[in-house]
Formats: sequence, C-alpha cells, structure tokens
Amino acid sequence: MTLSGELSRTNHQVEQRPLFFNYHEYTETYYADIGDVIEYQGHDADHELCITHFPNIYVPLDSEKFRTTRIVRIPRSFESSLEYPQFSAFLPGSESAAVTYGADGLDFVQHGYFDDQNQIFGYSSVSPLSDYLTEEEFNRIIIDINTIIRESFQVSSAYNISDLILELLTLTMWKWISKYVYPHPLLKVEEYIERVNESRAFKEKNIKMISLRESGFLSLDFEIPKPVIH
Amino acid sequence: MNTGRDSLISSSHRSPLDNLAIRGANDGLASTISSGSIIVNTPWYKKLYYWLIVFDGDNDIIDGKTYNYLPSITNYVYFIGGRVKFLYKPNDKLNLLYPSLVLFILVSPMVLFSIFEANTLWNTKFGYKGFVFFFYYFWCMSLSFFVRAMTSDPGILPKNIHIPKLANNFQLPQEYYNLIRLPIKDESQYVEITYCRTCRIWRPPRSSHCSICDCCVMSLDHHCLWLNNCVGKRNYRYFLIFLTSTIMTVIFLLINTGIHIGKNRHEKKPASNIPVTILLTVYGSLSISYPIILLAYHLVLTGTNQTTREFLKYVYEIRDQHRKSKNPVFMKIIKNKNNIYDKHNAFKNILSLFCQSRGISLQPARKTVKNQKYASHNIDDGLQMVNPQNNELRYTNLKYDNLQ
Repeated sequence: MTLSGELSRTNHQVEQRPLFFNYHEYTETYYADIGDVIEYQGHDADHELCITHFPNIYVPLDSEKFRTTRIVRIPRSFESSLEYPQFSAFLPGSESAAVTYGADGLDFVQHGYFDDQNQIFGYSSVSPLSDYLTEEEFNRIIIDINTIIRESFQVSSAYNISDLILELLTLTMWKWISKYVYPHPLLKVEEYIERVNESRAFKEKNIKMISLRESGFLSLDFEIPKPVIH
Repeated sequence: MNTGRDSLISSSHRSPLDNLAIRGANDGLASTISSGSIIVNTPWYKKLYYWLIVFDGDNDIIDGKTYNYLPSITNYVYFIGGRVKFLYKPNDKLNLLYPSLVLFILVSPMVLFSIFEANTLWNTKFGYKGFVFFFYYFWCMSLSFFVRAMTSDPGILPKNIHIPKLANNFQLPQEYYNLIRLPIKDESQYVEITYCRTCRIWRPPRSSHCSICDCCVMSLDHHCLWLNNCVGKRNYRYFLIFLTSTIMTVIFLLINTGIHIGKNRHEKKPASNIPVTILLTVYGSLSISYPIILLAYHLVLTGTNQTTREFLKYVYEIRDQHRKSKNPVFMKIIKNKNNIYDKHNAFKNILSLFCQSRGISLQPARKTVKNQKYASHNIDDGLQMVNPQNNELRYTNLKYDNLQ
C-alpha cells in the first residue's frame, strides 16, 4: 500500500447527500409547560422543546434590551460557495432537515418555558421570526446580502488586486491611507443592513438585523422582541 | 445595582449574571457616563503611556475603544492606541526571542554591508549602482513586511457570539459537541463544521483554533514562531511577500559581494583584504536556505489547495492508519483526494490562496464600545475613572472550566 492518495478510508463521498438544517438550534426535554404554574420537569422524546432563539449577547447583561429582546440566528449555507460567507435563504423551520411538529406547520406555536427568565419556545424549528417576516421578504433580504458578499470576496476583483499591488509598492504604508481613499466593498453590506433596519417594515415591528461585522459573518442575527404569552 | 439583578433570577439555579459581577463595584458608587472619554486629574505622561501600550484591560485611561477590553479575552497586547497589535504571553516570555532573532538576522548584514561594502560598490564605473540600490530596496521591503506580518490581524474571529443558553453557567447542549455535516455544491461531497468550545462560536470551514493566540483564525495556515503571530487568511500574503523579499535581498547581497570579490582578485592577499565580504557571502548562502525551502513548500502546498494545518492533519491520519512513524516534515506533499476546496488546477489553487480576499477585520481594535460604565472612588473630588466595566458577553472571558 503506497502512501499516495489511493487510500481506502472513510472519505467524503456518501451515498446520501446530507440535508441542510439550522445547526444553531437544539432540543431540550427538561422544561416547564405553558400554564399557570411554572414547574420544570422532564418530558418524553415526542415532546422535545426546540430552542430556536437565543440570548442577546450584543447588549450589556444588565440592560433593558437584554431582558426584552432575543436573537434568531440564520446559519451559513455552503451550497452556493465555500469561498465566501453565504447565508441560508430558508426562514428557520422550512429547511430540508428542520424539526417539524405536524399540527403547528410553519407557525411559531408556544409550548414551553426554558432557560433563565423563562423564555418561550415551541416544538418545531420554526422561530418567532416567522411572526414578523414572510418567507418572501426574508428571502429577498438574504439574496441581496449574499450578492453583495459574493461580489466583495472575488479574488480577481479590481479592489483585491490593486490592494495587493499598492501594498507591495508602498511598502505597507497603503494600509494607513486606504480606508480614506476607498472603503472596502464589504462595508456595503453594513450600509444595506442599516437601510433595512431603518425601513418602515422593520421599525414598526420593532425588529432589527445585527451588523454582520459585529457577528463576525458567522451567522446573520435578527434581534426580535422577547416572545410573550398570548 | 443588586436590586435590579434579583428580579432577573427566576430559575432555581445560579444565574450567570452573578458570576459576571461588575468589577470594582464594591469600591464605591457606580456612575454611568455615556460614551467614552477621558479622565481629569491624570498626569500627561501617564496618559501617553497608557495610550501607547495596553497590557491588560484595566487602565486609568479608557477612550472607549475595543482595544481596552481585547487583552483580557485574547493573548494580544496593543500599542499606539490599538493600531498595532502584538502577541504577548506573560508566562511565556521566550516567545519574544524568535522575532528578535529574526530582526537581528535581518539587520546585521545590512549594517555590515553599509559600513564595508556600499562605498566601494557605489563608486565603480561599471554601473553596479543598481545592484546596491536593489539590495537596499528589497531589504526595506523585507523589514516592512516582517513588521506587517508580525502585527497584522491573521483573520481572528470574535468570541462568545453563539451562546446557546444562560442556564447552568452557559452550559452547552449535547448537540453542540457534534460534528455537523452540511451539503455543498458538489453533490458527492460534504463539509464538516464544529463548535469551538473555547471561543463559543460555530467555526466556519477552514478555520482553526490557535491555542497560542487563544482564538479562532480564518483559514489558519500555521502559527509562525518567528513572526510570533498566526498566519491566516488576512495575513498570508504578507508572510509570502516577506519570504520572497528576504530571498531577493540575499540574492542581491550575494551579487554585490560577488562583484566585490571579483574586483579584489588582483590584490596581493585577496582574501585577507576583504574579510567582511567573505563573511557576508557565507552568511548569505546559509541564510537563503530556510526561506527558499519554506517558499517552495508553500508553493507546492497551495498548488494542491491545502493549508499547512490541513495537510498535516491529513498526514497524521494516514500515519495513524498505517502505523508508520514517518516524520511529517519529510513527507512528500500529496494531494488529498477528499479536499473539497481543490479547484483541480494548480494555478487557480495558488491564486485562490495567495491572493485570498482579506475581508475586513472582524475583531477591530479601534471600534467604539457602547454602554460603558465606570466605578469611581471618590465622587466628591471629581470623576476619576477606575476599572472600566463592560458587561457585554463578547468582551468577557468565559473560561472553559466554568462549564459543568
């Protein structure tokens, strides 16, 4: 057996293509049912609570915003490209391998309390974001963001090549003046997100997108008001 | 302070908010000041010193920027108001030896050359001025890119972004310990991603956690001891230009010393006339070996679209499978059949890694931090800021051993 590439080992070729899902979510069986008395207890596998929203880590822990908002995370999708960040265009709950609970369909239905401050969750992957955005609106935003990111990360783009050449010629002095001469094209995403946050639709519903620079392009975060009992 | 927090504790277990008590709150009254500025009653030299160097987070001077908090969550130290960063671990001062050695190796031939050779070579009638000029030009390039590769951001990812819950001291659910497989464009392959438990983020593909820098880095190639910095996505081109310019410097050094030796051959005792020239020739020939081997290694490695880390991981896998104790340093570079990043074209592979788009800094050091709080000692004699506090999880060190 030679040590070249012809090894028989488990490789990345599978018979069945893996399905995409929101890897930020997880399930819990120890939670409290919705009711007058909040009592934490174990539940069976058929009634697992699906955790679809998370603490708001972008604000201080003792602030009003921390108590009243939650974050819904849109994961990164690798089906269009591995070279640059792209986000999943599926509203959480409608991915191929999302957790479903028959009767709830594509709505966020409240089923239990979990975590500090008794946050409200449902049984399926559908997040509270579905209460604020339709599939089409969400899709439009994601596609716009993905397009801007794709254009900024091209290796052969004029910005990248000229940046490299200028750094070489000016012996690294270009770095200190480049942001005053021409800002990085990726900052257009920041402008887009701000524009969407200022739009009437978002302001009325009191939701906003977290700047991608703050979240490190790791996930697209939506800040939503904390779900309350209705 | 405390009254506000009690109402947040609604479950029976300990709230993580208790663990992140505001530092210095015991000392006195806390007062909130809206974004960051500066203190009265501090002497100017102290102000200058703290602006120049930030070792840990606690300073008397805070100008409301992230570099005041970053030293407490990473192993970096910031200079000149956060514009220049450097890796520094107080327990491991030996790390400073390597870059200073490289600096010595870079500077000493230039000094010797300037003193002994430059004059002779410049004043010839055969137009060797060009070679002297190019030697100095490439030397300047080598030094500036050395500094740049050492102080530049390799592509650090921010910490504590993907925190799943607060309960039980930010305990991680079982699902976050799994290796997740997701589909990619090529239907016969998949990509694997994992959750970094130290940085509390879902790591993008090709990123890796560097334990020396104590952070996750995008497209991490390796941690370079000589540069005292990781070489990653945003840094790779500077690393390569540094290697190339060093090689060019040495080549021109050899050309120049060769010319000098040639001119000197008609003397009575040729060798003893020009000891420094011979020393520089020997020095040049020896010191070209390491950079040129490294550059060739990276050229071949990027031709197969593998970073050093990915290649070594593959090599260790093979070695474990075959139970051979081959040293990975001497292994031939082989293509990984399952490399999902491979474009099957050496030139395209090289271009995609050498010129990978730098993107923007994701852990910026000079970003203004909102919502700062300060605790003052004596509120009577004017505001004197001590111990900046920022209760954001992103600037807090959630140690792994806190987990249950």
